[in-house]
Amino acid sequence: MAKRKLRRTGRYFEEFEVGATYHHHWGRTLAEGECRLFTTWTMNANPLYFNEAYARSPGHSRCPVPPLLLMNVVFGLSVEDLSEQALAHLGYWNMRFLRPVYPGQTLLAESTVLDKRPSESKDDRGIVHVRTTGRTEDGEVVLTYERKILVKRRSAYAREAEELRPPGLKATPEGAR
Amino acid sequence: MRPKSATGVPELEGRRLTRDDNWFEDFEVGDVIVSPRGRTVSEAEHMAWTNIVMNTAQLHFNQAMCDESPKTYFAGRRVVYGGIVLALVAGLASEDTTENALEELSYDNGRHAYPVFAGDTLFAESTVTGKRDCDRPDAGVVCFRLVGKNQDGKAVLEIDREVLVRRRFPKT
Repeated sequence: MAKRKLRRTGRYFEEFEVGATYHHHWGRTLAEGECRLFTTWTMNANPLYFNEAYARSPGHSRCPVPPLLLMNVVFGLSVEDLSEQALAHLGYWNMRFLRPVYPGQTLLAESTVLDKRPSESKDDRGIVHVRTTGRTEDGEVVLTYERKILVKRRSAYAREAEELRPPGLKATPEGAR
Repeated sequence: MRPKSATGVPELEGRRLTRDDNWFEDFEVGDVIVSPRGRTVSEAEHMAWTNIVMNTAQLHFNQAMCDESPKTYFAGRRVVYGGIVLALVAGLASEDTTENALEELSYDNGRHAYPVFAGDTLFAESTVTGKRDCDRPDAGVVCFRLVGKNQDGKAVLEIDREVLVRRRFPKT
């Protein structure tokens, strides 16, 4: 029988398995326009990222992708698996940019769970430690970093996890559609 | 375009495109470089960049959810996605620290120490924590501790970074 369905997104603390690797969805081709826009929008003063003639002198064929855009795009791909049920993103460790990436290249991302532990101060959450890798469609690793995420425990948020409505949408009155 | 032979300073049509005070030789370990500009984070841009990079965490873009559960979500406020905070703080610091950089090598020990909300104004300070030679003669590695502060002077972000910065005089 047809029914009302809601596919819940994001992993709760209990659902992370130490040692597991999650291959993130979608993949993402970087467009030239967004690279230029990101670097100027964030007021990055290095002409390497917005002046092609300048970028050619250190040996690039064109402006490379700004590293922090690269990081943000890889991070974005990882969110549904890692931090969509997070309460906070705590920080970054060992972030390495291994080779330049150029507009037109497609990024894929995966993450491995290094560790997890319950919060010491609050029993509704835990800390998950992951290592994320960004690679091009050819499999070349371009970025690795670790981050720690404060994630909800499903047990403490069972009601919202089971509800058939997105958070923030008021419950529909009885009998209404 | 070609590097000016004597100095390695890149020029275009006889013009220098970057400042002349932020080469590898100019950084001294212990220096604290206070960047001169502040930058207010607007509501629209932080929402936009969260979505452009496909970050699907609703605490950045679902106000009704935050209103419904203020105890869970920063007293009912949507927090700015940290990756954007990092990019804005690095941008504020860039003209003083990485304008003549060839590569950003790494970030480490990064902590979002305090949440940022739309309407906050960010500032940047960089402490030079180290310098070293590398295998190329025209550049060296500079290590910074980058701190982002809000308008109240509270550190919102602290992170170590290593950058490959051009030398004024290539090593012989």
